[in-house]
Amino acid sequence: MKRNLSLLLCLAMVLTLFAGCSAKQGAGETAPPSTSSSDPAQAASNTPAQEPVTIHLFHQKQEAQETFAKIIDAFHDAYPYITVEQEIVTNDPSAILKARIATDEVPDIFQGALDTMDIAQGGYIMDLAGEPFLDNITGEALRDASFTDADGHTWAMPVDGSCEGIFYNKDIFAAYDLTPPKTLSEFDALLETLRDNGVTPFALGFKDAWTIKPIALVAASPAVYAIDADWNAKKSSGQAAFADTPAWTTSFELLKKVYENGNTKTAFDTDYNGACAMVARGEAAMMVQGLWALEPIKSVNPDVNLGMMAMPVSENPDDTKLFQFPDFGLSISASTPHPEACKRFLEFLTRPDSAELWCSTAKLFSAVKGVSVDFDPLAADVNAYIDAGMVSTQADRGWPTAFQPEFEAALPNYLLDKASLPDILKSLDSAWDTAKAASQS
Amino acid sequence: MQRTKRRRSLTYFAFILPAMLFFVSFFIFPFLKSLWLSFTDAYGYNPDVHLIGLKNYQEALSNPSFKNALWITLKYTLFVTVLANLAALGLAFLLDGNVHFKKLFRAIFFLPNLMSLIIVSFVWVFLYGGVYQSFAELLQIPEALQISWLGNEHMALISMGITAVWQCAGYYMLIYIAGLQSVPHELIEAAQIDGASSWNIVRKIKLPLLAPVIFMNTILLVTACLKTFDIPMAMTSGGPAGATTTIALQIYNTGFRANRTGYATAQSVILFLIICAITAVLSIFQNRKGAKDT
Amino acid sequence: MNRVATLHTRRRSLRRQRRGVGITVVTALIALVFFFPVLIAVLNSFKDKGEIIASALTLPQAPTLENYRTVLEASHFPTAFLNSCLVTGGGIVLNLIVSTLAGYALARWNSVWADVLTLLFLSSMFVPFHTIMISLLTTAKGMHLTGHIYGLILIYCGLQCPIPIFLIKGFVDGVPKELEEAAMIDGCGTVRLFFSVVLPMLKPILATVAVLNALWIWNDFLLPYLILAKPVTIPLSQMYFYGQYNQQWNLIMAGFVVSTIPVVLFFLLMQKHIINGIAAGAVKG
Repeated sequence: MKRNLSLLLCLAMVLTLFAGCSAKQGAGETAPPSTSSSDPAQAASNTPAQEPVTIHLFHQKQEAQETFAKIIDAFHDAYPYITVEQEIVTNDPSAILKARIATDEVPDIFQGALDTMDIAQGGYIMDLAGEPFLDNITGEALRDASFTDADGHTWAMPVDGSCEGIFYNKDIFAAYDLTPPKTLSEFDALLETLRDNGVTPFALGFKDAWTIKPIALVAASPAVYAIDADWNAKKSSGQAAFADTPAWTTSFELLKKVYENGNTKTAFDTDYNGACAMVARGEAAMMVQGLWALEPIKSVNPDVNLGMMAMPVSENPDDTKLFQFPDFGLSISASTPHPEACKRFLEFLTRPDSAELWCSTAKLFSAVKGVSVDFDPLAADVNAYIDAGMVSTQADRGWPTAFQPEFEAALPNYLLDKASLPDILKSLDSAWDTAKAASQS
Repeated sequence: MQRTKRRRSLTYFAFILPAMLFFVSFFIFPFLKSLWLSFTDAYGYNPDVHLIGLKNYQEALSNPSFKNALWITLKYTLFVTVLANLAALGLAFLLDGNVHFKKLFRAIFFLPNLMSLIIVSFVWVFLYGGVYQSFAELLQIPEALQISWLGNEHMALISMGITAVWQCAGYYMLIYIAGLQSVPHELIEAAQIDGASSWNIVRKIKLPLLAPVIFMNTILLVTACLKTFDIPMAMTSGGPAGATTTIALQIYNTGFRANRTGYATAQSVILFLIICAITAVLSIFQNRKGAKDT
Repeated sequence: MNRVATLHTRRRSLRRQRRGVGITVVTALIALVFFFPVLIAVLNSFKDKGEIIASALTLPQAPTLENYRTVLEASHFPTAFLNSCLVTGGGIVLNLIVSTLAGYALARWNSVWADVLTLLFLSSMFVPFHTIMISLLTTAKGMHLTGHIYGLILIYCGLQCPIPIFLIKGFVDGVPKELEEAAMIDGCGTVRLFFSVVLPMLKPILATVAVLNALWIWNDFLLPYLILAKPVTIPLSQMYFYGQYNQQWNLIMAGFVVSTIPVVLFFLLMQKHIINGIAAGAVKG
């Protein structure tokens, strides 16, 4: 009897299988129709006609989900035959994108990231150079985005700019008569005052390992790259090294200072959202993060009075620069069957209406010419740095891709004293060389 | 006669052919290709690939993070293999005795094994976090004494191991129960009549007879643990500070995050060799012991 | 049997029964500890976010089904469930077909080749999936088997046939040849012999293999993660869902419950086969 049951079950499964097949595409085929029309010529001839097309947008900006939905709706009103489906992948997006590329399931439009150049090298990205909509983007954004290469290709369109710095609670600072420090000794004094008054200076959410890197970069950008913009090139050619650049030592030591002046004991138990909540509830006075953290902080407590400041890296106040960089960029797949529709969407994003909506809700600076939004009282702080020219725009962009995980791994090793700082810097040097060699093969 | 024999051979071969086709396409061929890749500088999306000899292997064996991953995987394997074996044996002895509701208990102990490791991991992250927090508040454990299950670099691997034991103990328990059921009844009855205590029956009769099953479960556990991927991927992403980065996760990160395909494949071949070596050593050990016992 | 002996056994069984209660209580306590994570997950799946933060240990004050609604919609659960069924069902059927044929032939074929091939199949058990992972992905891409579940089913067939083949071969080895030989003398060809005589004999082992395959495929994560690269089966959709609803434990626990119910039902239906299958699979493997 039981035996028959199992056979019956198998039979039922076979039946569902065939039912799935006969139901035309089957449920597994929710994929973009990119595999079906592999002939680009035929695909291109399809687009001018008003045939309905669907393009897939792949990104990791969870906080921008609703904003994108609004822009997509407006876009759909303008071009009724184009439907844009967004897919948000927050977990390991670069690995997923790589798997998509490896499986020929490249999304039509996807987020530019640190390995954009690698992907372009494999021929998977459409060159955007010369597209008219790029004229709407500011020159600085295009230049700093590092989405362009020496041959004049543009592999992604920058959408907005962001910065990483120290969020600080203005009310807590006011309560103890504190002002943003301009030098390292002022920074030390500030930390001491906070500690003496029983205030946790920094909120740390190291359970999400990626939250450690911004702290190192916020220091390294002004300390290393504002002084020597060609440091990466020098490193690659052997003229510079982590081990003998004192600014890197300073950056790492600042990272440790932040770690030791925070919720140190629970740092690796707390995640990104938890750290944001600490800042929102006033449980910590500061947090090193990018502007994107504003949204999760304000969602916990909309009334928190925040400012943003740069990390002091020396005794010279002129070195205290804010790390500003292009944040979000979009690339078009080289194999998309709907290139025109994809370009129309990117063009739509550069229209002032879309750009303003984007920047006011995502709380970021627009890369589009003539669009400036005071998305938050905090924007004034950032603008003050920009207006005074006290920004540095370079850090981890341009590092070899295979070096990125090595760098990220080195940071907690240093914090937890797995190795001495000189040893860690030395291992970073060899990791860079290996990674550089690997990518040039 | 010769002709019918040949025809039958051909038929048999035809029977094997479909399986062989699948097996060669999706196993043999990729495996050989992996061996080749491990000697190359294959990199992410780059179509240019060159042979570079043993360089990848040299790099892996001198790279501290790979060695760290090896060490972590071995520690984890030892921890889980011992604990899961003990738990499974204990449960099997309990359920082999005269317990009421045998089937219900068996189902409860086996239940975790039916669940996807990914989803099990999420539940345990919650247990180690929010649930433990509520527990600590309830018992008013002072903050200094609270355990940081996944945040502490010494604790995280153990926490992960506990999850693994919870998930797999039921499976090995079933195998032990099957083994215990094959212990001849007469032997135990005779011992009982001779007045042997339950403990002595377990120690002197059941355990020795179970030895081959224990060996087999150990091999199954060791090979499974050496390949552990889902739990660290879902629970900790290898953190804190690489304290839970197993070899399998390291291979994945090298291949899919650092894009170094050739190097990642060399690491995976090393993992393969380790599994072969450990299985061989365990088998030799078992054979020696078996030979001595008889 | 004399009276003294009967009395003796009866007393012993009475003592045994009493001991049975003690052991049962101990086992029940252990079972409770084992079941605790599941219990906690179920309880918290009925709470809202605030209630979980207040305490994860209490009973839900105002039980809500809202979490389940969100999970079913946001993780596209019905689609994922159907896909998981298709992959598992398809994988089982295809695997049964090829491994039954191969297992039978390897058992009956008196040739060195049969031994060599058996050894070849068996040796694959030492190779971890991670060793072939990257090459398999590129191979599958070259054969246009990526991005859809039908490719995944074919790949499963290649990766998971060795153990079934071995189990079936072992089973056939234990079946006396006489019946087949008698049929052959009656003029029955090998093919007809296989379908009319051999296949009916194999039913018990086929059930075992099917169940083992079901357990392997249903919960597998990494292969579908790479081959499909989209959240279309249950473990994948839960992984994406977890990333998207980070920290919303009420939703994640509801996701756990929803995705666990099918396997529990499957277990209840197939309990005997699963338990026999695991024992057989392990003893032979």
